[in-house]
Amino acid sequence: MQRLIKILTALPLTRITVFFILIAIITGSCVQIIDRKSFHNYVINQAKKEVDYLVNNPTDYVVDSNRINKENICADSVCVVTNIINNNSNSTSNVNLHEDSVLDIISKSDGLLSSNGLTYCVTLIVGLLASLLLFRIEKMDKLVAQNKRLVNRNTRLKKEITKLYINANDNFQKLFKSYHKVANILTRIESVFNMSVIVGNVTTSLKQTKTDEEKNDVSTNIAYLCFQLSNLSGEIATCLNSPETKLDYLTKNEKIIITRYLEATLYELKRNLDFVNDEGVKVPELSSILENIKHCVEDIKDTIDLIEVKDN
Amino acid sequence: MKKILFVEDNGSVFEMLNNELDSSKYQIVRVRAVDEAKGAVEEDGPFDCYIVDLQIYPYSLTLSQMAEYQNREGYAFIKECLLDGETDKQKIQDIKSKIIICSRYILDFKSKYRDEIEGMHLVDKTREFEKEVASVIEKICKG
Repeated sequence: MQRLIKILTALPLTRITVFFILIAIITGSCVQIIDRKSFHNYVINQAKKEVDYLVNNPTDYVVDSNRINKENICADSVCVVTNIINNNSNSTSNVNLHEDSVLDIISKSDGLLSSNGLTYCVTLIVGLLASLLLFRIEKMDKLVAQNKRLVNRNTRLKKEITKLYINANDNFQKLFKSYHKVANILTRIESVFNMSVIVGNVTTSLKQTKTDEEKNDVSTNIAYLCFQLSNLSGEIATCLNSPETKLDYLTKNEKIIITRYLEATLYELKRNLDFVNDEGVKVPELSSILENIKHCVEDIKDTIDLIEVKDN
Repeated sequence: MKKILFVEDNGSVFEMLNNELDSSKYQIVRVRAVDEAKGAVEEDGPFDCYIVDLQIYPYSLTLSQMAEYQNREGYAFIKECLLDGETDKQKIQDIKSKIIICSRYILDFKSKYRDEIEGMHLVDKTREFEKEVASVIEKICKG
């Protein structure tokens, strides 16, 4: 009960509910007042009737035990008292009922409510409690529904965010993989270009050799450098043809840079070839080696030319 | 313990092959260049099995050999060292049966030297080639 009262008192009631409660209290109070007044009057009238009766029938006794209504019991009490007063008095004029005395007696047995009034009050209280409880339940239902909607919305949002994250992660992985592939190819192509320049520089020293032996030594060393060049070019060709490392696409700038490096490499190789084929130098073995490397680099360039250009 | 000569200049490839083999069964010698391979055969040979990469450092090859065996320097080692001077067909076949050529240029090589390389084992350096090489080594060494 205390808990119930606590809940009810803690309720944040809306203005309309408070208004209705006040109306109910006011009407209840009015009804009570009217009820009590009519009860009082009824008691008085009953008492008067009893007294009149007793006056006319002095030997009769008052209490009718069959009358169980409280109003009648009260009226009987009034009559008993009046009777006693009358019996103690010799004058018949004292039979007159003093309303004040009656009221005094009634007020002493006050606290009694008419059955209608009692019913009304109990009904009112029960009704109030019920409406408060229902109001509270309704509010709680609304909150539960709202919560459910929020939870569903949150779950949906969570799923969408997870999906977005996975997509973003996949895209990032793809981009990173693509960038890694391009970087791999580009660094190797740079190395091929640098090596072709070194080979070119060393090749020019062939002109400074004086004997065949010297020429052969220098040529052999150039051939060792060409092995490195050949190795690197072969690796690039393998990368471009292997499913794991081949390039699916290039951006415009990437393609331009790679192509320029390859063109520069081919230019260096052609210069070296012209040099070793020159009458003054003439090293056919080096010519053959450089020619093979040039073919390999040309194949690489053809492969790069065919790769699709895509902007990120 | 069986002796194996690895002629491979690429360190990571050698690691992959080495990891596939049981070190308790095989004594492995690794070299990177033609001259080193020749030296290993002279000092520690003959071996029970030879795994040869085609593209290795051509040190000790002449200029004309480098031109002839460009991108096939490993085959220069096989021809000029392992099979050099051998005339007995049976012995030649025996040596060839112990050789595994492992390279990414195996298809071109096969088409060019088809008859010469009959009897040798050829492995293309594609995905999981190291497992194939290990299995062939095991067969060779068991025989």
